[in-house]
Amino acid sequence: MERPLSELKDGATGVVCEIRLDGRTRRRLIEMGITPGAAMRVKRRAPLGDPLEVSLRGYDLALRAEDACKILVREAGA
Amino acid sequence: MITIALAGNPNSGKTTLFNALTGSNQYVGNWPGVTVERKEARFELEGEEATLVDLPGVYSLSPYSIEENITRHFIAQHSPDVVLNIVDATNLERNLYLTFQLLELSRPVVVALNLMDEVRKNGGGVDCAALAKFLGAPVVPISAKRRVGFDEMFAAIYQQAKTPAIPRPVERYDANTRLAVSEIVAALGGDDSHSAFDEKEHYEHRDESHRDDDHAATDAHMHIGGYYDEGDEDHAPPTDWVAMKLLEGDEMIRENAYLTDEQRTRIRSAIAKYIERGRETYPNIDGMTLVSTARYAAIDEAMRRAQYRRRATQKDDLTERLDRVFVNKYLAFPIFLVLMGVMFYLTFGPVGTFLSDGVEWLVGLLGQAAEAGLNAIHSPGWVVALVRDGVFAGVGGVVVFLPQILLIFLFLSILEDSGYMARAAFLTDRLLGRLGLSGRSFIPMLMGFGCTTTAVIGARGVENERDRRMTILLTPFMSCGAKLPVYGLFAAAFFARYQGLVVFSLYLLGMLIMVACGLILRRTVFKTGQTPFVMEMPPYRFPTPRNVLRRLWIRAKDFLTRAGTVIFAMSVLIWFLQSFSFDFRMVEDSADSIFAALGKLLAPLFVPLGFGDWQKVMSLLSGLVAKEAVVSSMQVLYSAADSAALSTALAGQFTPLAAYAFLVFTLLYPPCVSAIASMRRELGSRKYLGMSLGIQFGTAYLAALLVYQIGRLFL
Repeated sequence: MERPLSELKDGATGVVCEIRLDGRTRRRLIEMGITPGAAMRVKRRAPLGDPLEVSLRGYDLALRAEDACKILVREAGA
Repeated sequence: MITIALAGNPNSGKTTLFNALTGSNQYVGNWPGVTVERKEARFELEGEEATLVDLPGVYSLSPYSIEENITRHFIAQHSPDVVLNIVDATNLERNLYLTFQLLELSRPVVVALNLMDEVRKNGGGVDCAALAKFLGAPVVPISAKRRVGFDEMFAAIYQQAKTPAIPRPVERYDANTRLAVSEIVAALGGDDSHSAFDEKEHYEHRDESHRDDDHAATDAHMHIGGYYDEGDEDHAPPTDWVAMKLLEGDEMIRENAYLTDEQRTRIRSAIAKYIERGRETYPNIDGMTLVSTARYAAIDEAMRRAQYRRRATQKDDLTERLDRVFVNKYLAFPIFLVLMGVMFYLTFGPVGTFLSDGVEWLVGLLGQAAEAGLNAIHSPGWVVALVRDGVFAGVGGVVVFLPQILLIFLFLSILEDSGYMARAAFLTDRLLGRLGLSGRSFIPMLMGFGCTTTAVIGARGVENERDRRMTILLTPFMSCGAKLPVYGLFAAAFFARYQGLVVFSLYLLGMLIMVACGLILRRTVFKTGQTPFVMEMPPYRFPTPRNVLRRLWIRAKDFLTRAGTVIFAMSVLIWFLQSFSFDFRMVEDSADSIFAALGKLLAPLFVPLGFGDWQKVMSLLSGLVAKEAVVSSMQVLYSAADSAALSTALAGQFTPLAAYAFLVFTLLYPPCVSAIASMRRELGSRKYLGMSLGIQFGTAYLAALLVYQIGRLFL
């Protein structure tokens, strides 16, 4: 089932299906490696709930929940 | 002369490598017209002279940020002999994305694999020869920090400079991308023709009326890099690269390529077919995503062929364990506040003050010696006064900031290099997101409560220019430490019972106005150029003392030379205005000075604010030198022997409401000359400096006016 990256629990992994963002945010996220088929693990959320820290392609990245909710992933093992 | 451009991701060790290669003979300036730092250095390469140009640390070569534009512009337009690409071997996959984009620019590249020692230590490794073969560029393992592998790297650079190997990365992409690129290259007129960007063609395809526009041709090239600089050579961009950019939907390329209708149609159809074929695998995908996916697929292949292995290291473990504490739900903010508190205490508290006092004492000593010397040779009175009150007081006023600036830079450098800065931004991003800023701006703004000059210079840590400028524009609203004596004096004189509350209300008002200004600026001046908040969380590392010290040294030099000259000139000017009358005679009583005349001239403007007499206006004017001067000039103007006498004198001069309006004005109007000089330097543009001063004078006037006029309705 496809769901927004922002809905994954801490520690869960998802595979990117679709990126429903526009403009430079879209471009920047894709260039940072969030391409269709890439696996991402949600590491944690900031104490105020936003942004999220994810792990992908061997490194860690922080992105805002407003962007993460527009990245659709297929949860691994679900 | 061999020109080498150093390119790489942020956090890849680029600065460390630059410093290691060039030692202390660096030239530090800005890229023309922008505030992005440009570093250049000469060094000897295999007996020949070489120039190393440090390009900004970037993740990709999109046309979306100034840093990225500078990088792609420099490589495409200045054609450096060799591009030295530093790559973090512990983070190979993401780092190679930039590498592929650099290769697409068709300049000879040397890949320096930094931190290879760290990868190898844990049983990991990479076959450099296989990687080099796949990339079409030599790959050299190095350690920038330990200065290992430099000889091999120099040899590779020299070899590339003498017998360049032009890479063809497109050959490594998938069949779909290769086909689309070859179709577009054919439409553009084949490999050797860059006619789409050629000057002659450019004129032929433009309206007659543009013929006399000398800059039109350079404009086209400027947009290819998205950035223009005087020394440009007009190199046409490589066709493979243009083709890739067209597939990506790069506006700058699309709008600035001068194509015939037939070429346009062929290119459009090639792109459409590319996307159509791509959608067989990925539904709904667009050109940009397809191109990125193609690059990442090539990276996967490169890593497979080079048998890249990396195991979890002790460092990963350490980062994980530290993060469990530093970004812990409950502990993160207390730790952050303690760290900030310690930083604040040391910088603006006893240590910083002790050092500043020491510097002040030293300057005072020198000043006295100079005065004695001048008197001994019977110099005229005005020369003595100029040297004492203008030069030494002015210079003294500047250099007392130096210890604090260095201390804050020491802390900021350590926070940055250790990786904590990214965590601080991660924690505070939520608080600044609504202003259109990111967590990156939080620490410099916090420093504004100490000293605006320091905070403005500290805003260098904010990576992108737009956010940096916005941060600098907003920082002065954080009430700086030097304004406190003014608040203290007035609060004691007028609001004895509510002193704390009055001072607190001012700090709060400053922050509220900062937020309001932020919201307005975000929707007006800074509507465009907002970069999305996507931040790498680098692993924690131990800061290299050499890097930290070098940055301190550069900062100190820069502050003393540039800001120093401006502040010095402004101090002498203000001294002159304060000490001379219009007929250029030195005045005994400052009430006869040009400054006082200026105060009298401006005073009527301040009547609606409740403090429309010249003494008050003049003390505000002198506050532009340093905020403490507001108090000291009032002491002189009201002939008050001490602060108790001044309190009494003030009570007769202000109503409590006018006093509060005066404080509001003090809170919001531009900080001292040193801050203004730093803002000028860091904003890198008169337009923004003017805007910044305008905003501050405007809000100060408006807020004081509202306080006084609305207050009068009730009191």
